[in-house]
Amino acid sequence: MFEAISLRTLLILIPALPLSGAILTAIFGPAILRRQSHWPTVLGLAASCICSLMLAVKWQGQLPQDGKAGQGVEEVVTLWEWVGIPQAYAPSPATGLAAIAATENHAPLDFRIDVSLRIDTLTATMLVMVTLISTLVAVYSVGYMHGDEGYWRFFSYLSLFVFSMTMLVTVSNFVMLYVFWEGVGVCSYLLIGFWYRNPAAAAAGKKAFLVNRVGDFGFALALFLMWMTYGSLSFHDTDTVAGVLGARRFAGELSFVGGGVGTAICLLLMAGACGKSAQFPLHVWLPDAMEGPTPVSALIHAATMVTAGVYMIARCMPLFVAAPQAAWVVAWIGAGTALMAGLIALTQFDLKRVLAYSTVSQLGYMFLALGMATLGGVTAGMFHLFTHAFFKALLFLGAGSVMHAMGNVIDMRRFGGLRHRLPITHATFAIGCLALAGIFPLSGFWSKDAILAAVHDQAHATGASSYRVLYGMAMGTAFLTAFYTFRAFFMTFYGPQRIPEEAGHHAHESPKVMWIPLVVLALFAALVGPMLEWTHAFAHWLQYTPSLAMMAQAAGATGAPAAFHWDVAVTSTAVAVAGVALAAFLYLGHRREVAALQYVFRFGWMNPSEAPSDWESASPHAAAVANVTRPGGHPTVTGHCPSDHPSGSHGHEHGPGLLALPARLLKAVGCGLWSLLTLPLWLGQFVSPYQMSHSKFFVDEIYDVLIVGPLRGLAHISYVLDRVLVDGLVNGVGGLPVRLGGWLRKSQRGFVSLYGLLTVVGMVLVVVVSFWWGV
Amino acid sequence: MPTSLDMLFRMTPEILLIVGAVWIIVGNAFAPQRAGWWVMALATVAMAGWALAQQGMPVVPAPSTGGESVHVGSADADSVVVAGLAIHDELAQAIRWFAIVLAFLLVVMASRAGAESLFGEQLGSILLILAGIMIAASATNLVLLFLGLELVSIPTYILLFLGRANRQSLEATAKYFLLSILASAVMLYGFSFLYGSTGSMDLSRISANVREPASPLGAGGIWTMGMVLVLLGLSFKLGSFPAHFYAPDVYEGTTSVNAALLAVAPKVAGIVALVRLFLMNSMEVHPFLWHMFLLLALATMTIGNVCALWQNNIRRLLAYSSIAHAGYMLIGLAVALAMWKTSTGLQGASATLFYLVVYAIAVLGTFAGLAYLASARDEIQDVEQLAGMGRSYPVVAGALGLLMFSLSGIPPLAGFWGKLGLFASAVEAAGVSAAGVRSPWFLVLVVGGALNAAIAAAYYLRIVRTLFFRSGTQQLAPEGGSGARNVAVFAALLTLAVGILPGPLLVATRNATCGLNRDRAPLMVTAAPVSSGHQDSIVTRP
Repeated sequence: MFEAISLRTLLILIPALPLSGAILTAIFGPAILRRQSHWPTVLGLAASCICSLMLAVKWQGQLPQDGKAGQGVEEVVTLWEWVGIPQAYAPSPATGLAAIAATENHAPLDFRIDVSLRIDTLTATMLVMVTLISTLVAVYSVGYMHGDEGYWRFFSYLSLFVFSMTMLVTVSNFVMLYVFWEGVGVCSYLLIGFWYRNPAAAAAGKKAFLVNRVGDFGFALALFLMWMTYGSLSFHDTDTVAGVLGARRFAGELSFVGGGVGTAICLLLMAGACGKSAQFPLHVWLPDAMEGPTPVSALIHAATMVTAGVYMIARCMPLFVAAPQAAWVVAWIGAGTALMAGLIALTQFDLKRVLAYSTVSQLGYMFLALGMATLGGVTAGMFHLFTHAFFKALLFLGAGSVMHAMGNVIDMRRFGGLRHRLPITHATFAIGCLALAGIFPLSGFWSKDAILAAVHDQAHATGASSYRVLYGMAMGTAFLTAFYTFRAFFMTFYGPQRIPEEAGHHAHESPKVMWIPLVVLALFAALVGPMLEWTHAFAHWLQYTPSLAMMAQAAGATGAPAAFHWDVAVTSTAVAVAGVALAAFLYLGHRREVAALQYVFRFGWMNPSEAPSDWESASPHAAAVANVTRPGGHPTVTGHCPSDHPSGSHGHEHGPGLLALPARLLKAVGCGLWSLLTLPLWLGQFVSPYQMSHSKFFVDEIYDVLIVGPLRGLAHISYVLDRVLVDGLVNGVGGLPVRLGGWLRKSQRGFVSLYGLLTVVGMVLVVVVSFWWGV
Repeated sequence: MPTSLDMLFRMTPEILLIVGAVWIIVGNAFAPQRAGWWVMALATVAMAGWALAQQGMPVVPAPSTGGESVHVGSADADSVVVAGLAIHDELAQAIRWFAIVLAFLLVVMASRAGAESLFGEQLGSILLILAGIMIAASATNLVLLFLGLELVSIPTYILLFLGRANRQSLEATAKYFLLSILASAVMLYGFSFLYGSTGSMDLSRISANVREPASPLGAGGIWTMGMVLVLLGLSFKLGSFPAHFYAPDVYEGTTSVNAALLAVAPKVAGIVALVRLFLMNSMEVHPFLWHMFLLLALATMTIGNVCALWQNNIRRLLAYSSIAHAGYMLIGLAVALAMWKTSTGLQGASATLFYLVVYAIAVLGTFAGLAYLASARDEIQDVEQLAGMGRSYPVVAGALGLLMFSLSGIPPLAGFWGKLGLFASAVEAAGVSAAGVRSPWFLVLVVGGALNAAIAAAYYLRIVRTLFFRSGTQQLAPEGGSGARNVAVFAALLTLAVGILPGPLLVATRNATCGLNRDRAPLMVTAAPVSSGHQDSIVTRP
């Protein structure tokens, strides 16, 4: 039976099963299934997962056995032609673009988009990861979403998402990729705003959608450029046209485009990836996306959808190899984002937001690895994608379990010491944290080490100092990662037990249906890394992907996957352990040191009115009073005018005395001077390292001022113009036919003789007019 | 030279229809029962269809779908039979088939129409009218053409009279009768001019005798005057300006089945007659003639649409709408007449035929829906009466909604392709310079047409809104019979099907017109790039 199912069938089944699950849930959910609405989804996803595993195993059997690098293996199943416009584009020889000039005699090219599915090792990897995690998350959601009024809606969206995601990684055409890229975007939008009655959730959904539009715009431009340059949008070669990532191009028959155009294509692709994978400067939507249900955060905004950008860049790697500057940009954006997000995560109090920034940071890691544009780098990036999916999903689900127990409270200052109340969550969360921090021998250690090794190799190979800086940034991020992960861990599970009143009687371990996925994920998070990387099996498996094989081929002997470097491993482990140790030192005890550190880093010493205090144990209300929780809040130290005291002790304030005017002038001048003097102090509140981190480097505020505000103004102007000018015109013109009709219908009086007369008059009129016109 | 037996064979469908009609009319007087005669009428139509099938279609080579050009001419001369006064070419056969389909739909629709004792006369009249269309479609002689057109008109008088026997109905009948006679008289007057100027009743001879460009005041002046009079007389059949006045009063006063017949049958006959008279032969026409078509098109569209805006009575509204549609069809004929030397002309003519078919089906379905919803005593009159239908009769209301969308020309329905074809041909006419007849006036025509389409959408969508988004105030008791409902649904589905796959009908209408310029060089048919399933073809001359 196993042999009887062909690759083609499996490839079709994998997306088809979630799709049918989504449709069934949507049809039968509201009225018939109700509380049982999860069944189509869970069963569909599980079946899809089994199909993916079977596919991977079968595909393993089809790989060449000699294991030589540089051999790409793929199979494309074309289902039907979606769009076909013959002779759509005649590339002029004058453009002289190498990619097209090499095609046959400048014949006009057909614009053709097939719905074709592909299988290679990259796709198989993604399919296994996506379906496995989504199945576990779906099971978990059965418990987490229990009793929600949108129960069926949730599972329908979830299935639809998995359909889009599996299609995204399976299709073999850039336009189809774009279609499903948008498809996952829509599902993400729907699920972020799942609780649409909550204004914050609705706004977060909108924000995610709009920020992604910016990236997608770049992606679309990349596709246009690619079509103009390569004359094709297929990955693979079709019978008439050579694909962008086709075998003929890999075989060296046709070239890849480098130079300005190549770099532009790659940078625009990168813009798309930045949007989807939340890289600077388009990372702002991901933390807000945490307004969605936690399983969604785990599945879409940590494990799967956000890695679509990484997948896409890995898929397009040959283009980046042809445009090394673009790859360099990818590396810098990745490293920068990783560091920035790590810094932000240090000071967040919202457990899910810490994890969200951690996701941004880890995605930055992956981009850094891809930016190396070496086989070692790409396989390391994909490997990190793979392991990260497991432990980050685990962490999010664990956070969800905490939320579940704490009555949806997620502020870490309001609970603590939960390890006795939530033993399983505690244990699995610990495994996730260790993996994320990169402690030997858990998954994260192996993949993070692979990335560091790839950067290290590249730094050695090129000798460029920029790669050394990148290596340093990556190492620093590793330290931050270990620190903020364990900060969150200790704050949540250690210290004196504190439970918010919202929790009520819920403060106990989650039901079985929720903790079993946690345990399974914990097993994966612990074991996937060592099992796959001990022998470099993952990298060897992945290098059969055509676009990566081409890279190995190009690099020749040095293209082997990054070797294990003892020095890198030891350094990174030491850094990670230092991070964990610091977190333990600061958060396991009295946290007096934390307060002291904060006092230093938020420039508290510049403001004498503030004394060091126990910030993190204070309630959020207290923190709000101190104006540090919200970026929108005003700092405490404003231009405090000494004379402006409400006590009214200043005599000349009373009565319209002769000196009233000069006194007021004096007061104004005094206030101005005082403000000027305290300005640095005031600004210091904003730019202190602590405040920078806590306010996420003010990126949202900068966008508000630079983009949102002006656009809103423009929108208002357009609205007024539309109302007054356009509507007026339209209504005026629209009234004309009515008036004309009102006049004309007077001729319809119902008298036959009148009709006869009018007919004859009309005839004469027509003849006369035509006659005069003719002459 | 065909023998008279050949000619008889060729006319079998018409003969069958007429014999069946007479049989039904006479027989019903003795055996007044509904079902039997209804089946008899259906059988007659089926037999006529069978007889028509025996004759086969003139063979038109299909254009290849490849990128290269192929020669596609009109059908072989052998497969076109000229039988006495009639010619059975592509156009004739296509219209005759269409008439059979219309006859079938109308008979099905009329299953419950009228009083039982007069039911036979109702059915017989319908069959006679369709036979008239078929005769008009194949006539090459002025006498036969007139006969066909009168066979469309005279049973209509009876039908109108057979409607509901109330004052309104009688008034409508009288109006139609008087104005129809006036129009026929004008047309006959025109025929006499044609005969007088050329000395022949035969259409091909007529044009052969007027080879040189005819100016209204020059040598061909009499001939041109005749054509003008014929056009004005036929404008009654089309329901176009300046003889459109009867339509609202008559549609309002008669039954839905009759209104459907009035909106379809005379228009088909009129368009075919115009095509035959003006386009059948490759005569050089004076710009005077297409100027007139253009003016008539603009005036008709505008009058129909702006007057429809005011109507609360759905029957008057549909009457004005049918006037407006006649105006759209004249666009294509204007293009055809002005550009007949070029492929654009052919495009215009075939676009007109396409529009005719699409319009006929849609308006038939609409009236069928109204006929179904009507009670035994009263027809639907006010638009308001339709309120809430979307909830109480979703199937019929859905069909009506779809047909309204099609009539207003919203994709992906058939009406969209109809308007697209007409406007496209006019745009091309405005841009073509090969024949030297280029005229920016066609651009005016297109703009006018587009504005009119926008105006039209207002009142069509008002009906849709009433159907679905207004709560019903009164309860209707649909007593129009399931036949009418089935026709409405069928028409809606057909409209949708043609909208999604317009290819076959486009090819059929183009084939129907390509026999008209038989004495030309073969046409070059180039398959245009296929865009989104719309298979159109550009026809160019080598």
